[in-house]
Amino acid sequence: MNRLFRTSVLVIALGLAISACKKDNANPANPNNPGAGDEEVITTVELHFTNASDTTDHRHYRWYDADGSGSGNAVVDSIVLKPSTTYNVEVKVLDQTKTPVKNIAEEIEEEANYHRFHYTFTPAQGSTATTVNTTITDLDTQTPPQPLGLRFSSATGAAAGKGTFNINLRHFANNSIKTNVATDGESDLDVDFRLVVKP
Amino acid sequence: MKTIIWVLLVLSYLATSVAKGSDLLSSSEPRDWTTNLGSVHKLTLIVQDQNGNRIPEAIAQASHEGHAHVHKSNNGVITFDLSSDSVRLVVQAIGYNSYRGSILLRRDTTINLTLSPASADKAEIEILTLYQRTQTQSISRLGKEDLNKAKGQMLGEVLGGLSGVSMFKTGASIVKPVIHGQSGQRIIIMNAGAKQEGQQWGDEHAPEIDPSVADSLVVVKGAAGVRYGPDAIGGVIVVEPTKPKANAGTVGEATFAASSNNRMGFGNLRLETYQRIGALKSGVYARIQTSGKYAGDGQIPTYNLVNTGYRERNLSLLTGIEGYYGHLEAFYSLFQTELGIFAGSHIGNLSDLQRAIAGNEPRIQGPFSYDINRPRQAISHELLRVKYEHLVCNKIKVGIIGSRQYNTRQEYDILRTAADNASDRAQLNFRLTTFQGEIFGMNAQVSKWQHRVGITAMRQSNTWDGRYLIPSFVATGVGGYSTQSYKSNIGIFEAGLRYDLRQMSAYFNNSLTINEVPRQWQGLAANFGYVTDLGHHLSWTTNLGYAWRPPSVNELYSDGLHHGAAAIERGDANLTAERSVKLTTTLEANLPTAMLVATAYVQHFENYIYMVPRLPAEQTIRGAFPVFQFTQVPALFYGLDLDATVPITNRLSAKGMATLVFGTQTTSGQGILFVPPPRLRVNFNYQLLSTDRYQLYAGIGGLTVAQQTNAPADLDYAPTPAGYTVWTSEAGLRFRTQGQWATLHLQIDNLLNSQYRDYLNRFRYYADELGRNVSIRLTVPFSFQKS
Repeated sequence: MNRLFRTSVLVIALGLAISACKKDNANPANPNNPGAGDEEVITTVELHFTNASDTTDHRHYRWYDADGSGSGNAVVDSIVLKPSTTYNVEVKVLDQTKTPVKNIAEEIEEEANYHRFHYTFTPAQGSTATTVNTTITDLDTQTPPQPLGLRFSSATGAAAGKGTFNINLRHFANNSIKTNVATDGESDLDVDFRLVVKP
Repeated sequence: MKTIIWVLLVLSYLATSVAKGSDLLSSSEPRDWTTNLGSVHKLTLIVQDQNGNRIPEAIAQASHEGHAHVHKSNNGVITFDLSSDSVRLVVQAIGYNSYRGSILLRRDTTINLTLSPASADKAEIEILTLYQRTQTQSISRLGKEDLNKAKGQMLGEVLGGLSGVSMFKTGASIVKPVIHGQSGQRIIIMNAGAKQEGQQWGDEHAPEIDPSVADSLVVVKGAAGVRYGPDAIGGVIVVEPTKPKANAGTVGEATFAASSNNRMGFGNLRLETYQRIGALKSGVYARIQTSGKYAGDGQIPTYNLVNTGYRERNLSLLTGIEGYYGHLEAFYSLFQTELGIFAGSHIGNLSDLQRAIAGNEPRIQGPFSYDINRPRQAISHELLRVKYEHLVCNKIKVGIIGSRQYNTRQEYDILRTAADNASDRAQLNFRLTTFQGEIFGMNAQVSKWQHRVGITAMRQSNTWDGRYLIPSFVATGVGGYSTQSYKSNIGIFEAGLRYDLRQMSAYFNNSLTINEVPRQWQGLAANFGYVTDLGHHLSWTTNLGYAWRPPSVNELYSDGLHHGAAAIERGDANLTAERSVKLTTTLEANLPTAMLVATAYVQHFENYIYMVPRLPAEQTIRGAFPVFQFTQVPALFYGLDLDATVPITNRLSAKGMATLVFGTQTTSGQGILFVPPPRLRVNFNYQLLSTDRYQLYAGIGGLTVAQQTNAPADLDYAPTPAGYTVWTSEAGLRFRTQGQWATLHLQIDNLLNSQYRDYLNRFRYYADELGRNVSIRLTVPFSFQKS
């Protein structure tokens, strides 16, 4: 009896386990619910330039990749600025694969203490006299506040020419300390625009 | 005639070790052969029938852990000179039931054995079953004692100590086995008779198996496509839980282990019973096994690998009923794990990766913790297998095996915002359901010819949500095989042929329309083998295998950014099946002074599926990423495995192992990425004390791994790491409890706390290997038997 009891306990346990088998309720032939998709896609960076001494002089440029890091190529505008001019610039960052369009700049703003933009202008060969000096104008909420970079001003020098304008957004993990060093943290954005300074 | 039986026994040893080993191994089996050297004793067996007449054609196999001697009788008398004191014996003669037993050899011993006449006996059928396996293949085996020492390790780590087998790691928590340079989709794992189907295509997807389930682990190091079907192109790992022993009653075993490096705790409990019913050889049996692991961050000598902890829970149940004609068995297992991926491996883009490589220490550091944060994985694998075997007309054994597996995998990425990171939403979700079935028939009588035929079928469906990596798909397959072997005076010949048809329909969701992409592949697998006894304790085995595999779903359809690798990976929907031929030859010497096994192999691939970089790097909004595209190239792999066990004195023995493998693309002559570098392992074992109640042993070993100099430099982000040597030391005490041996084992890995990097670790770009690890393990068997 004891034997039988022991054996049946194990057999029952097995039966329970079998009936507990889990099941996939989705249908592979009709994948109608692919869920959230890639939450980390960024498709668009827009730069809105406003001439500081002539607010009617407004120009905006876009870096757009319809499928994020998929196989399609990005469409990148060339930035054209006047010499000896200061522009106030606002940065927009979007995920246009989502409906409604996801405003990623808002997320960056919310987590200002863990983000830092870096802007670098590198003159092309033969344009070494050309300068674009960028100063970040917005701050995060730390004490003391540190630059964020969703807003900045760009001052062009007198010399016409061309070069590359790089935007690099550094993201710091939530348990790490934000720094102003361009190589610290991790890249969330790293894009190059062609930039031309001409009258 | 005698020669035939002789060879048959050599082979049935190999076969025996495949699945039956622990049946021979009584639970009081104290040690493996190498820790176990006493002085040489003479064992004399006198084999007779029930009337007391000697059986002239008897043969006996005396085996220790992993090695066997086979001797023929001289008019019913068989003698062995054995240096081991714990010996398993199998004695056979045509027309008689086999004798199987285990003896403790302490002095020169003579044993009288009486064999009973055989009908179509169950025992013989079992031997035949095993015999039908790929016995001309090169095989490595881990027995119960090896597995006990490795309790608490992951499957890949357990196998990594075998010759010809290496480990492909992703940090400290993910380990995949590599056999003769092949891993992932080219290796299949037979889990209790079912082909393991998880998301094994991923480099950072470890096998979803608890090695504590198994009583033996066998690695088949050849193209075993005939017996195991497509994908078995690089080798097979057989994980086999064996049924409880008929005479043991209700027994169990508890194991506790702890290790210092990641402060891991491990527990395993096994309880099993066999109850005879009615006639001899009839009974019901059941086993329950459960284990759990809890580990924190792994530690490198100078820092902590943040977020590399893991948890694991396992349950397995085995139950069956057997009679003279039929045997029904059900096996269920559930494997669940949650593991953290090293925080410093999440890479923004190529420049970030280059900076991480240039830095000596990881960017993200922190104190030790058991916490698991993003990036992390949660995996569950469920297997149910039912098997029925029946003896028809005392001549043919037929069987049917059916199984269902359900694998779920959730991957949690590091996200941009703290709110998203705090959510419990996984970015990658896979659900994979696999059904498999096989019907087979084989002859149950001993004869010169052995046949086995079978048909197999499978159906698999995969669904996903979250971030795209691979599509949903439905895959089906059917196949049929036949294997024959013929025993002659000059050896055993075997041949096999198999045909398989595979179909896969992938489903892509493009906004509102669903795109179905069907593909179909078919292929033949073939196998020829020969084994012969060369005399002078030498045997020679050679095997030629032809196998194929369809391209896997990621090789066809992956498209996107792989954050762990900082690369964009693209599949190629037009890939064709990969086909390969492999020649393996093994020379084995069982000398009284040493045991040597040398295996050489060469494997050619017609369409080796391989990732190559596509230039230039792709500019994405996150920055530049190198693009890797799956493509097919002809490739050649070749190598050599050596194993040696040498008794030095009565108490001291040495064991050595060397593994060499080379891989090249034959058109360009360029090396292939992630081919294991040459490695050499030497262990010394010393027997301090050996009484009937206590045994004390100690050992020290070293592993030397050379630098991989044959790697294609332009395909890798960083130069191959320098070679290294690490030392291991162990000591243990065995003591008798309830008539069985309990073991307390202490082991120190990376004894000198060396800092080094391993070529086959994907995180070698960012971090060193683990530092010193002290682990302790206690195994206590117990019994409810009235004695």
